[in-house]
Amino acid sequence: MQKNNENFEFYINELEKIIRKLESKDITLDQSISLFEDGAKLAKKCESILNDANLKIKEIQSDFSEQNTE
Amino acid sequence: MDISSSINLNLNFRDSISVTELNYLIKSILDFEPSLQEISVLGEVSNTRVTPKKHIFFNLIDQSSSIPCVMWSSDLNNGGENLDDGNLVLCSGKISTYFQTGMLQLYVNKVKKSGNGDIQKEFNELKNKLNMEGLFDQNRKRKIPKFPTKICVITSKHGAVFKDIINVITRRYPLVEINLIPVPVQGKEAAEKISYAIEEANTLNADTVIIARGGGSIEDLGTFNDENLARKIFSSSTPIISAIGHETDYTISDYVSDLRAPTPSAAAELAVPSYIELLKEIESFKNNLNYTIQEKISDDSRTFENNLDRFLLNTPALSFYNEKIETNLDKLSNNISQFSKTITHRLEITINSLNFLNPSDTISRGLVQTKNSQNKIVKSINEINKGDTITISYVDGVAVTKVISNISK
Repeated sequence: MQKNNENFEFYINELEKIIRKLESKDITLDQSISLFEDGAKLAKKCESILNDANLKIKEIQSDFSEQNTE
Repeated sequence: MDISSSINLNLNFRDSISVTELNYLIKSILDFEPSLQEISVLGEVSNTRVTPKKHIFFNLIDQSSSIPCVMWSSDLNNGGENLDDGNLVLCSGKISTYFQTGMLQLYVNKVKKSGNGDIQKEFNELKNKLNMEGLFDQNRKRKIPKFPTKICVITSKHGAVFKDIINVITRRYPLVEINLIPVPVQGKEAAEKISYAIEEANTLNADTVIIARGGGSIEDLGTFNDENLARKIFSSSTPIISAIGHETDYTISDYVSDLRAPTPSAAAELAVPSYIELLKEIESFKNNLNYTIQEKISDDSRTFENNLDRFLLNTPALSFYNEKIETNLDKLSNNISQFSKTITHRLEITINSLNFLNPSDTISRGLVQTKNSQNKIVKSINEINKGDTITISYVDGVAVTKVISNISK
């Protein structure tokens, strides 16, 4: 996985791929567990990216308003 | 105002005359000069102005000179109708001065037109030629930088033009450095000096060059119809805004410039953004930015939530496997209990049949067992002899007996 690919869009796409594989019924239990494990990691990554983004936006917005009140 | 008290009293007044006296003097000399009384002058009409009382003021020009003219409205029917710039005309009249200003004028009482003037013709010819060469092409015009840091203004250091430009630029966008390259804006050398000024501006790393001149007659603006100047503007590496004369004046320089402004002040406005408008713009960008990023994040969040739901729906179905196992176990245990039942049944049958064969059971049904004296079960009459002692077992005891006789069947 290349560093410059590591963004939200990349992870969510990967997650979707995994879901599609999971939805196709012709996989073994072993395969589904391994996919599930990967999917859970991706979901966590997505969530943390979103949380970070939200936090960052809030910081920037508070910077904005500080500047405006100066 | 008492003039004599306000000027230096050391001056000698004895030989002096007043301004009014001077103007009358000039006027009377001219008015009595016979050669100036009835003259006809050939020239091109330029800078025509009509007063509300329909008097016409204009200049009569040729390649190097011009003279102001006036035609009173009472004389208009002598060829003065539709008099327009560029007309080549023969004007008849006299020379005199307007005594209040001392201004010398040709007082025209008759006009004879002879088609378009040479200057206008030359202008059109040059315009067509340069247009054919592509000097006016819109797609070769450079963009004026939106946020310049340095602007060169090529204009006269006298007069209001440069001041107007400075005022507008500093009011709108005080961040920019303004360099003046002073040039004469009319006269024989003006076009060449302006060409040099463009070269100089190109070495100063300016973002924009403004070439400006206030209003004037067509002969005053003639400098800006110079072919070499036009080519210099075309080859300038710095974008050029031209602002020459009034809104209605178009010169060759205007056509070839990257941007034409109607007036010098307008050129200044076109050269820089207004910082007040910029602040407003920034504010609206900020709002937009806020909105857009919030939308983006909630979009992404929605996408994520949907995917997460879908993902969790696809949690490996262990319960499915559990069920499968349970079903199989059930089946297995059903099978086993069925089996054991069968076995048990068969066992019972066997046991029953065994029971049937149990000797003690046989005895209980009234049959007896006979053993000889060696305690061996007697199965045949031939195994006993007369006189043997045998033991007969009953269900509730034994009888020891002696054989009296044995009879075979």
